[in-house]
Amino acid sequence: MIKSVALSLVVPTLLLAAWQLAASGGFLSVAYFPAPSRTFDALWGLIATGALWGPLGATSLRMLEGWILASILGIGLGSLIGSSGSAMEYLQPIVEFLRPLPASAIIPAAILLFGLSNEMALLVISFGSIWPVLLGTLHGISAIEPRLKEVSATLEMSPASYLYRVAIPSAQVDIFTGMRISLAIALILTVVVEMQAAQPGLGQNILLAQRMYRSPELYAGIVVLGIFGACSDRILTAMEMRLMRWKHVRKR
Amino acid sequence: MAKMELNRVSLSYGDGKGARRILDNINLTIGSGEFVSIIGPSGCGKTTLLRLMGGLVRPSTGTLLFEGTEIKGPSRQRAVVFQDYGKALLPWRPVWANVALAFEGGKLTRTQQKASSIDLLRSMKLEHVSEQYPGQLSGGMQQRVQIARSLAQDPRILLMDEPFGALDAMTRQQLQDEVSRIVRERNITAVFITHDLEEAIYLGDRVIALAAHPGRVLEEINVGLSRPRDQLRTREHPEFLQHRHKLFVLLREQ
Amino acid sequence: MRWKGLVLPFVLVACWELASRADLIPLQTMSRPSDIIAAWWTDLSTGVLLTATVQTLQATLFGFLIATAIGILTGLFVGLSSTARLMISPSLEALRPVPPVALIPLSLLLLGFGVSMEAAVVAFACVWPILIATTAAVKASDPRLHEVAQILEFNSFSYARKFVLPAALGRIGVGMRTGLGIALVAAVTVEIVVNPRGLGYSLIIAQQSLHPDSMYAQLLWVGVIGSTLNYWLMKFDHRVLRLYAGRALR
Repeated sequence: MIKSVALSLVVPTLLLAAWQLAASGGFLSVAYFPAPSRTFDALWGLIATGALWGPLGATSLRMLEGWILASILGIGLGSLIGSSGSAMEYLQPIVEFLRPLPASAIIPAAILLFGLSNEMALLVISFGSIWPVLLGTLHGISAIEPRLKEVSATLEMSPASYLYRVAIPSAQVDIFTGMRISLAIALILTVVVEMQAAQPGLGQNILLAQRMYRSPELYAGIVVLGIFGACSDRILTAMEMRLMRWKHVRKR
Repeated sequence: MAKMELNRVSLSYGDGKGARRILDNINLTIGSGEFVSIIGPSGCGKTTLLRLMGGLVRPSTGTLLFEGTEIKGPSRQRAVVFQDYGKALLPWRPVWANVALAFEGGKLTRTQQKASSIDLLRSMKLEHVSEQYPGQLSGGMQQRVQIARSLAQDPRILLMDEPFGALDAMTRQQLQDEVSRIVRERNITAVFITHDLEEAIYLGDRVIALAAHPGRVLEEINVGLSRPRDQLRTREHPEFLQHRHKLFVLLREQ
Repeated sequence: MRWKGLVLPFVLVACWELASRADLIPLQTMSRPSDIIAAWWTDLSTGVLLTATVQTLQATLFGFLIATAIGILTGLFVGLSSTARLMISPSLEALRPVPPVALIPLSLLLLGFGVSMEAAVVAFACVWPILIATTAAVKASDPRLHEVAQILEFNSFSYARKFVLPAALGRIGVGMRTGLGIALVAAVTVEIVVNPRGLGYSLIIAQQSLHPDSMYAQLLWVGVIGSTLNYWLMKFDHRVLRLYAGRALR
């Protein structure tokens, strides 16, 4: 175990050390490749002065709003479409057209309709993130165990009851997978929107850093986003594990 | 009034030349409080017959009457216990919540629902697993949970489709006695599908033997053995052996 | 019935057109479908649309090819050698959560405006499915075959080329097709945000120069390109899958 940890650190340590030496020794253009120590200083500066938390909070909030809206709509629409046999026939081409559409391409239209506002951001982020959840829900609902449908029929459950108590929970694995992918997409779109619409947040920070040729801040911003992305995924996975503990318990 | 009446019930799949007749001209009556076993070789349509009684499938011809009214679809009053218990339980809910599914949408509050579920589980000696998930239980216990949920429906008739088919012999015997007891205590009418000849006689007040291709009623036997029945003594009883002999020969000739 | 799917779009477009003509919808923000079609035709015939499309596809393919090369090579390396895996995987796992868009400013800084900068971001975005698919495909290779190769004294490179790669091709193909879909999205995104090239850029121009009909036309055009690509990829998938499944069963 120690061996694997040590091995994993070899490559990054060597690279960073080489980079640091090359930058300090003047072999690398420090405007483009600042020494890792300067990136670290910039990062530390952001944390120490508290300048990190505002943009981080803004980005998180924006991402979460878009993702939550996308999840609710995705699960809702997905379960309605999934339980109606004919709905999918009417909607298939629209879905097949909208799904591969790059959500960022919507931004100019969104700006036209809503200006550079939070509504515009919400629209773009939720439009892009809805698809994995929607499709996951659709898939899960259509794959429901037929025996459970019969049990619900025998219990004379109302369609709403059936959806809420049986159909959607039975699709939870597919739904959670979709929600995880959606979260990653939501983060990407949040950063895009921040860069495009000059909204305060981590995305705007790195773009500004590039414009002002402040490369340590630029690299620091990338590091922050990488860590943020990894953390949000881990947190979601942990929540998923808790909610799906029924899957992981062993026979007594 | 008879609990269930089947008049000239037939079921076919497909049409024209390729039509397969699953059940042909079934005429049956199930009396109130009776325990009726239905046996037959594979492919005789006994599961289909049960599903017809449960309202999960419509007949091609003939009528099914439940308490005098025609069966139009599934109903809470006709509880079905499926053979594949694993697929009939909600794996993401603990055992008590699976039983409580039968109470949901009704008048009880959540606390009352949980209490009623646990009461029911207690009467089946399943109280100690009420907080576990179905995936943690053995096959026999899962089947008992399904039975508990069926009872929670407060049904007028219990329809069981080879409920013990996937279980080992010892568990099967325990559950046979348990079902007998429950049904007698609550005075529920029961229809029990099985391919096990001895199980059919052991449990039933009447045994209906079906022939296959197409499924039709071959013979009806009244089992006069006294209750409560005993795994050892009843199975050695001369009348038991007589019925067994008769049915064995009958089914073998099919 | 395929035509059922056309009902809803047709109805929506018809309602939109009628509502627009009845002055219920402001023309500055939501153009009329008829105007959109006209603008599309104009853009197409003046060559503006095609130029932009070619530019976007250039960057898409360029980035995709880089990603394929890096992805497959790294995947082979990591999949075949457990030491390599222990040394490199954690670093890769640390890079993967970085949202590709976060690299746009960096790419801009290092490479300036143009195709290269866009291809670089595209490559980062779509390398992951290819890398992961290759690693998985290689790891799934039959250990028995590996033993045969060792007995016959194949070196690692030959082993990879003759034994591992052919068997893994199917899975890698899936990763590549996923990557290609991502590549297009990434290219358009880079163009929207910074790069003055391609369809993303012309969308921004159309919006900023207050030509909403042209903007909507191009938006729909991007959708057409995306769904067409997606459609071909899916068809290809099915055909390859059938071919492959057949071969695997023999």
